[in-house]
Amino acid sequence: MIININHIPIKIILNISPPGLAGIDFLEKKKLISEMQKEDPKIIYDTMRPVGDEFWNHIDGIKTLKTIAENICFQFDLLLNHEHFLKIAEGLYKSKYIDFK
Amino acid sequence: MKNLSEKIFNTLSGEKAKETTTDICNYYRSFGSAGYHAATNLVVNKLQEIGINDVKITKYPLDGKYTKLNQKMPLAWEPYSASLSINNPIQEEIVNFSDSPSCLAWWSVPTNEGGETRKLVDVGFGENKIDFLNKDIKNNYVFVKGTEIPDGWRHAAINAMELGARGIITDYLFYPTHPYRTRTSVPDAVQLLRLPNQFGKYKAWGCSINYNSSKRLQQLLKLGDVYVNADIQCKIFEGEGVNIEATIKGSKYPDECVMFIAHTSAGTRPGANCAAGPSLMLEIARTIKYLIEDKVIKEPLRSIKFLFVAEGKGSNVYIHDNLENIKNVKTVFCFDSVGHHQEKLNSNLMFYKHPDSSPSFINDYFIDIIDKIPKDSSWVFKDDNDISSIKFLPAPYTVWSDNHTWAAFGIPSPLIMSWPDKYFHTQLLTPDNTDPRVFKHCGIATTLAALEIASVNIEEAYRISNIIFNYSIFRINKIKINFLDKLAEYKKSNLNINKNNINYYIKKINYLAKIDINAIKSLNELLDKNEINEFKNVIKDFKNKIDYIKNENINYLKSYF
Repeated sequence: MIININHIPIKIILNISPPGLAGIDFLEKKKLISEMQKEDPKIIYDTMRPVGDEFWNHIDGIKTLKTIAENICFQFDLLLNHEHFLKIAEGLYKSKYIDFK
Repeated sequence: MKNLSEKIFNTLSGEKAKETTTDICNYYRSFGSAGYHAATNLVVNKLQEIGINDVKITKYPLDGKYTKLNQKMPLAWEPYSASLSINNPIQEEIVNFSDSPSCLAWWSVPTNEGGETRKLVDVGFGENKIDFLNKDIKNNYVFVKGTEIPDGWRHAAINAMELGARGIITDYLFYPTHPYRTRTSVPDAVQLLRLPNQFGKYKAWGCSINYNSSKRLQQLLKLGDVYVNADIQCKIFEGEGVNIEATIKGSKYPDECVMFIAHTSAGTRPGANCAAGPSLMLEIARTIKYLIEDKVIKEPLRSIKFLFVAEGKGSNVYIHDNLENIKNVKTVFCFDSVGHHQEKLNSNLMFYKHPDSSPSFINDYFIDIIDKIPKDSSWVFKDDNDISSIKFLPAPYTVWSDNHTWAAFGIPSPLIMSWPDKYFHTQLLTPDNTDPRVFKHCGIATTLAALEIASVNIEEAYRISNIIFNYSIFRINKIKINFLDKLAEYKKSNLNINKNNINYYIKKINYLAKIDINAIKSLNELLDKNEINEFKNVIKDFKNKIDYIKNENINYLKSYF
């Protein structure tokens, strides 16, 4: 499945602690973060912990990936292309935490 | 309001919280260990001393199988001793558990008694396959050089263990904070690590060492073969976790509550950061009990609960077991390092907010509380104790302790802890690095907030709405100021601000306004049906006011299109 920023994610597993960046291994995470740092140098590896949590927490079957990404960027003052968040969605989809409407 | 905070000020003792912290720090408190159970029993005994009899104890297995909230519990783990020495080319001790209990990674597996001598292989950072290529890893020990990314340790350890390494030595120091906490500024610090072996898959141990030992080892590794003797004695086993839930019953809505949560487990010994949480909770429990019994204050409408857990796991158990009624928990104050000596540790007491994914009244409300509590110094021209020597600062949502599990269920869950933390999870974080004044400051703010939230009615909800509205105006206007700053920057550089830039600020104003209106709406959770009906008009009124400020600012920004 090719995921795009207008997709609406839905949780497949309910009532769990946020799975963070499930489905993205350490080196992929480092690569993702290094790409993000080109746009916002304030980002560090651990920025992705609250970002990952909030990505999960925002999934309500209504918000698109774009809205979720935008909300997270506003919450943590990140200046990022929202397309980066597709990688997080892909990881959660691959790990069977989410599907799409 | 001030009256209540003064009553708490006169009762709550920072010294008592520090004494309990010192007692708890005597134990090594890994999940399921003897020290963890001793610390948990200490809490139960103190609750009895205080006279809180409504105490529910829930036990659950730490067996690598039992599942709560879709997460398997780890195995229990108990350390006894550890000693690492270079055998060849020189004979020299590198680290031992007696001096640095933080040296032995959780879920390590023991060596033979008397130790095992094996070759030490340098794998650099151990992050990439190439670090291990053509190296003799199987049945040997590896040295992993630390980086600034804590997750790098986990990844390198898995790489090494998958290739059959029997032990991993590293000089990782997590969360460096320049200039106070770096490998060179705290050279003696030995970082507590967790080996990614919580289900007992690997037959390996992990040990961290200080900076000087690391430099020594690296020099020797450059010169030729190095052999290390490791004598590791510990136990990985099927054990037990315990939740202690103490309750001071509410007078009108006893099933609803404001909760405090902290862990009797800890990364290591002494672990004064973790010990501070349950210690302050006990002091808050004593304070509230005393104030009610002596009729200094009335019983709150809702219950006040104190939940003592094994970090993270206890919340999973509690939430899973109380899922249907979890919304009865109106706020959870999550405590971690609530007593750090700010001068010794270059630290601040931090209020980490509840996340925006479930907007809550708690964020602005608690900032207001911090502003209002009694302080210890005065403006030079008035005796009014309005200046605090204790720094207590708000910061965004932070994934750290039990707070993130509760936040995921939409329960307002502020995290209170200290940061930066010069000695975080090292052997150096002794109880003498805590400060009664910090305990007291944190205790007054959170006790006051808990008592108020536990008794919120429609008048109080209206007052809190005004607080949120006040901060909302500030936030929205601040975006306009940020825009004007940016505009000035552009003008200096002879550039024109474009429509996309302006749209960013407009969207951010819309975002903030929406969060703030929803934060006011979240007060409905504290009202009964009749009050909710009455409160509708209040919400509508504040929504209109926030929308007005929002539109005024947006129209201003649009004038630059």
